[in-house]
Amino acid sequence: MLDIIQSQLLFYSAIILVFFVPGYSLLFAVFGKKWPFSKLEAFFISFGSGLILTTFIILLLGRMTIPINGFSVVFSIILFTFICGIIFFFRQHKKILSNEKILVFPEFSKMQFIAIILLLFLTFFIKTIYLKDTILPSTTDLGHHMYWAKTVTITGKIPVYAKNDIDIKTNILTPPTPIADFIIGEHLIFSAVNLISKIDFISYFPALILLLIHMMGILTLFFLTRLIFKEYSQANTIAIATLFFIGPLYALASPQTKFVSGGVIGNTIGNFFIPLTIYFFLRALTEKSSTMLAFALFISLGMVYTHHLSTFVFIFIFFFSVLFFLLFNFKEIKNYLNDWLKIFLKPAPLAIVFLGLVFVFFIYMPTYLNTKAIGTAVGTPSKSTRIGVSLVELSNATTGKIRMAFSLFGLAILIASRKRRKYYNIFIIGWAIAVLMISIEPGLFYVNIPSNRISDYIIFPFSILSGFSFVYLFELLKNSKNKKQLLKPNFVLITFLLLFTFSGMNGLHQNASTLNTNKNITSVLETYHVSNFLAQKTTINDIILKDHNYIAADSWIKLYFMHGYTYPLSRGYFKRYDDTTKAREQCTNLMISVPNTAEAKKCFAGTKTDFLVVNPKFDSAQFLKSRDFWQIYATNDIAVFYKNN
Amino acid sequence: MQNKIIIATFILLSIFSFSFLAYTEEKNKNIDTQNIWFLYFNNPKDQSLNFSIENHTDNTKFHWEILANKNKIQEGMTAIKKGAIGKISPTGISDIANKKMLVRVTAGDNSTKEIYKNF
Repeated sequence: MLDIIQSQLLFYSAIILVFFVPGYSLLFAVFGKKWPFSKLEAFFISFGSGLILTTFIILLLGRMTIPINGFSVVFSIILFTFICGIIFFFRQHKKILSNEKILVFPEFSKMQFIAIILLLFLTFFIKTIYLKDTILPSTTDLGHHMYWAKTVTITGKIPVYAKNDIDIKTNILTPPTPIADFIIGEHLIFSAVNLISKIDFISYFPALILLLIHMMGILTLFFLTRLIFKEYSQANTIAIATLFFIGPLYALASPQTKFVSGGVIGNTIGNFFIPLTIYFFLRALTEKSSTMLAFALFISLGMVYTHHLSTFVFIFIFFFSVLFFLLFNFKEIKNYLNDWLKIFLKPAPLAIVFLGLVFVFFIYMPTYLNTKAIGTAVGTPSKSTRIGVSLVELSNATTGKIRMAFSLFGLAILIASRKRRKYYNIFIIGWAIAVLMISIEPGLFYVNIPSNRISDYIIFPFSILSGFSFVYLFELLKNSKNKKQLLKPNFVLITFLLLFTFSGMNGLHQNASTLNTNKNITSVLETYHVSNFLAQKTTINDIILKDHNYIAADSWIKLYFMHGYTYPLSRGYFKRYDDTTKAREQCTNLMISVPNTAEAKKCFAGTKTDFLVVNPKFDSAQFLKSRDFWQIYATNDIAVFYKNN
Repeated sequence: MQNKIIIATFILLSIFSFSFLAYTEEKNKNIDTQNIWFLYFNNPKDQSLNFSIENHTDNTKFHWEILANKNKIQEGMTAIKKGAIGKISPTGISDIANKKMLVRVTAGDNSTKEIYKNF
């Protein structure tokens, strides 16, 4: 018990040091004592900024060939804080005050306040209950990501993303070749937390970091909604309704808690950074503030270093928003362009652009910024999974029917409203339509990415729109008595209750259908056990092949060896071996499925595979038949075979 | 003031949630709660037939036997406490050439596991 308390204390200390200390230091340096943010805004802004700053600090350490370890990470974060402190005291001494003003919102009423607390409680409660069954590390993506995060802590260097393949012609393992699937910003914060807290990667901590980032995203969305509908008398209520639609309802399905437990790091961070960037763009444009624009660019830069898909989606959101702004404000566009230039051509935003370019070209270029990766994302959709999803599929699988109905209604209201020309509305219209269009018609925009990955981004704008239309509809019915008595108050109340119940039922039903009833704890522990066993009994000259189809938590096996991203070799999903778009190596399948055939024997000779880790319930008969294999390990769901010649 | 309370609520809920999940994960990780046992050769790559039974069940008695081409040549009983590893080194087995040497272990609940080497 004491161990858990100690590791928890270390974990919280690491979170404060990695996320909040650099973030708050930056705010002190930029704004001095007088911040243009409320305490709530400062809370999520410092967290997001801290995430980016820590990533950049570690990248700088790597670039300067300073070993990345617990001491260097803590020291450099303290050094950064110290530099910010000097800037802060310099500003105080010279009386350089920030021009930005704090935004004033109406206070929440007592009932509204209780609703917020209750919704936060429910949100945490539902997500925690779901994660209870998945907190033991087992998901494939998280295993892959933690391999790279652990690589940083072992080597003390920024990882080179590369993997060995099996040559299709010779069946020999190739030297490592670069891969563009991973992005540095997805890994360094986990490395930093591990280096500071010393908590093992195969533990609760990666999922909890993701949960924290996810919840910060929800908090940001709550505040962003308040900002977007600032000019509406019901801004607070709309924000609470949005919290209702994004918090306890539809709380588990992708891209929410399922992505947290699944270790979909980039999307989870992206879903925090996209609303945060929009928040800063909105403040920059409405307040004509170059400092806010600098923050918007800074968060965007952080997104570039964290997740390509989120960056890609954000570019679409940005251009759609600009497009709608031009469309709705065509006559005054010259004035607006002048305004934009005045905001942009100031030292702060230009400095961020300059620093961004320096970082990309001289410090670290994200792996996906190469022609191969761009080439695979842009082009005519190449697979059936990339040709878009229908509205029905979208509402069934992603948004939920009620949220889809509410948000389309809200979108129509906003487009039809007189306020559509304003920045506040433009961004939510651009955000929703951009993601909707590239989800249902990716071919129109030359997007060649799995459509379900894109459509996951629709949750956030649609939750805002649902919150808006929910409150709008209620207001419409309620206020009718001031003009014309359309509905009696009792009927309004009943309508509201019906809508509320129906929304709640739909959202909670989706939660229930996502709950994982299949507890595979034993299978996961067996995988940990066999990994330990093999790590002790094998050397780097042994080549292990494991099965991905029937073994739980198999992507975590590589963390016990740290011999390379593709060590042990893996038999992937069977459909991967029938890819019609490109030739795939077959050895990893043949060596397990038909180990006694001539083709498989060539594969054994080429790859020098000598240990095979399989599930005996599916793959043991083929080994039992042959005298070439020994079964050297047995438990319920795992058997290890050794090829003895 | 409202903002401060929202932040405080968020932090408190995070701590409750994280502590609960961390405790759950620690509990789940305890292999002794999963009622499983393991059988493996101590030296997987050589001709040794030394093997281990790793017990994480409430059964403490294990019966083992060694078969050469399906003929029992040795057997024994061993008691292994929960959480312990019983190491067994069969002795006096010499004629193993061209034979399939199989180790079969049966736990108190009649669950059986087998490992083997072909010579």
